[in-house]
Amino acid sequence: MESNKITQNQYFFIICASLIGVGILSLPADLCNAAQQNGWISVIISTSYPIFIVITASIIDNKTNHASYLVISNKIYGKVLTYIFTLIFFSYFLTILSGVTSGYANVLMETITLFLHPIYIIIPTLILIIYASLHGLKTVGRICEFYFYITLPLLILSFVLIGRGTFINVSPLKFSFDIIKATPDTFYAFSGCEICYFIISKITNKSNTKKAGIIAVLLISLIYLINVFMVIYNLGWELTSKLEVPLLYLIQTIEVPIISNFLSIVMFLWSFIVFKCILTYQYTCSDIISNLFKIDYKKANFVLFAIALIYIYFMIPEYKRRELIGFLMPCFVVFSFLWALITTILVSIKFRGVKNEVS
Amino acid sequence: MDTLVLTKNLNKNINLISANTPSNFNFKIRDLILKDNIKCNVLYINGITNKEDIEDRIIYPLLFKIDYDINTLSSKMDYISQKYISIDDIEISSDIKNISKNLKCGKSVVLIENEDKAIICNTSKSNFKSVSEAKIEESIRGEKSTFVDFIEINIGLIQEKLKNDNLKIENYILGNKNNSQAALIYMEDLIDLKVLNKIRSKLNNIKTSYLPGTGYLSQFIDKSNFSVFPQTKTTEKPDTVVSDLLQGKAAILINGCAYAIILPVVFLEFFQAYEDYSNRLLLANFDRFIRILSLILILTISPIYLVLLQYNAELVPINLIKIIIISRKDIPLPPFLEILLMEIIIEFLREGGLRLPSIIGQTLGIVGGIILGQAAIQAGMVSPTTLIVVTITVIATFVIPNYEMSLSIRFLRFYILIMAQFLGFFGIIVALFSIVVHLMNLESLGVPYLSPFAPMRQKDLKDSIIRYPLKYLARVPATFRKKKGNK
Repeated sequence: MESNKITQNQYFFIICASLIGVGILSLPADLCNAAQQNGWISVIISTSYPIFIVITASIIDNKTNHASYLVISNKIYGKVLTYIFTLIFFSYFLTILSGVTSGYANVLMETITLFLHPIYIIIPTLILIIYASLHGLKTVGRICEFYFYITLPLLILSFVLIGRGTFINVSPLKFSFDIIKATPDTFYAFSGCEICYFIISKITNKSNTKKAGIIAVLLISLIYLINVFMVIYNLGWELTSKLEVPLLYLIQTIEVPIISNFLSIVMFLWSFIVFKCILTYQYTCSDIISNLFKIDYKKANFVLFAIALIYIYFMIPEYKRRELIGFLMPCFVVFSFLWALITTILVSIKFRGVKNEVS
Repeated sequence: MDTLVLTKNLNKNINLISANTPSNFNFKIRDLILKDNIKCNVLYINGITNKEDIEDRIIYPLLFKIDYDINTLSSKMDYISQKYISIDDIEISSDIKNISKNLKCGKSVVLIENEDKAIICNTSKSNFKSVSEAKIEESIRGEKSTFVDFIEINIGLIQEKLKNDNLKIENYILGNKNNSQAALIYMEDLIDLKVLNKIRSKLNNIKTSYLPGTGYLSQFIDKSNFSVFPQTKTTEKPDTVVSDLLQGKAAILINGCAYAIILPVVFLEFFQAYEDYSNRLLLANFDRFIRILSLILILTISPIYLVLLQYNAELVPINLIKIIIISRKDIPLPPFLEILLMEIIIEFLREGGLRLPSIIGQTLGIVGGIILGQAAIQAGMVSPTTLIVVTITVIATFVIPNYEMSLSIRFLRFYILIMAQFLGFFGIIVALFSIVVHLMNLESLGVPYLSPFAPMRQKDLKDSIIRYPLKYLARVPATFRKKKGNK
């Protein structure tokens, strides 16, 4: 298999990796601010967005006979619009990459590396990610697959606290407009799965990409749901809404013999989740730079390093990161939604009658 | 270029062969006069030939047993070789290069006047060491015998254990100057043709003047020479080779080297041993768990200890940190240098013990390990807790069954230790992640090194960190299985 090809399984794991970064740590707080004890219901509603994305990606891929993103976009929108749209997607992924990296540095500085300047976290992280990304999509797929199994127990760790919480914290259960209002907050956590538009054409054994994408989204949604629910169930919405990273606060309460701070082990494993998340965006952004500006993929990785470093630097204090993300993310999500909708319609019209060949 | 061949002139033939054979003092030419005054010469290189064979099976019958007028025969050499020379391996040749090559292998050459052919008799000396017990790969229930320095005995050891029509042995000559004989061994019906062709191509393209053993050879075969991880497996045991051949792998033997290399390999098999299969299921799995645990300990225990001392003391329970602080009182060295110093001293002992005879090596271990350690504590150079941590690391390295992999893992712990010193816990995370990324990119002849984990091969997981009962295990793992289309 070429270094730029993946299996359908690896596609599944890349989608999973792109959906979980640092957003899950602070999500319960954002949801509780808007929808109080019913915040967890917003997660269920928000699932519709990533499902829409993976379904449209699969439709576009099937209708266009597995052509690459740029080929499809050029045929539908022409060169100028393709250039603009691709740059918007690039900015979108770069924002997530920078947001996750800076968020990770911020969380790390508050937990296990209090002594380190953020730059000493950001630069090694980016170098490490470049090292992994340089080897192409195949390695990205393998890393996502390998670490998925290793970190899965961590993702459902909060479930062990089910005996400690109380249903009073999630009562009364009522469907209000606040739940809908809280839904956009979840979009940041769920954003990023748009990378499927860029990688779906690189799957070698396409048997059912739609199913693989939907299962990945549902699985991650379930993980989000468990975590958000367990935080509210254990801490109550008032405390949750006042904390910056309520999930870590909850995990910190787990007592393990010998280890006086269980959080350090959690952060140890959480780092792998963050690395694979950043890696998926590093690959996609570098691939976009490489294809758009016709430069070598390896060089594109280093170009991205310089751009990302500057961008991350502006996101270093947590409040700046939140401001920037809060402002940009809704715009990107709206763009991505509209692009997916319009492209799917146009592809269905323009590529009607094209025989679908399995490559 | 024209091939040099023998002529009807005996003296000229001797000169031609001598010119193509090293003019050493031990190159012998024995003149004989056979029945009816026929001149004859026996050529051999003293020291690498079996003189008894030459005397009893060549010279004696030629001088005293010929009772027929051989001058009347048209194919004199065939008749003599069939009737008078009682050596099992005989070849008749007129090619001077071939004759010269065989002389260097310990064979003897018989020349007769007015004949443009020579009889090459295999009289090579087999004074190599006899099959002995394993010294490096010792096992409790496994086979005790090991390979020797002589390739033909080694091939025989494999053939004796693997009586199968599909066992194929290909002959190679490696090294332009030393012309080592090598053998590529595989099971024709099991090996993936793509892998086999890669091995053949690698062997055919080795350009070196000197290739004495498997350690050299594996470096010519490895794709990533800068990787610390071994990409071929070295073994001294024929039963390991047989087991691997039956898993669809290939083995290479080199004459003069008592080890075989097995290829392709995956990371996990360096942590598996014969006892994993011969022991009861639960015990075998417990052993595997211990090995994986030892791997984690070797890589992380010293760096974690360093980070806890240097940066994150709050993560250690108060009762434990008290003990550590008391033990470190008045230690002048910072924790990093203290650990590094001890680790380097351990490496000195390891390397020193390796070069010394076994008895002195043991003494060195005792002097170094116990006396030096005790003295270092009493002198206030290192703390007892540091010594415990380093000792645990050293003991854990002995759990890894493969020597090459154990060296690689030892080396990597320095990398993680240095990263931990600079970046704390984050450094350990970065180092471990980078090692895994490196492992994911490694391939042994196209086989992913981290298989069956990356890419995930569910069927092979039955024999990975845990082992299923033997009846559920596939003899040929999916990783090495013959791929469809590669016929």
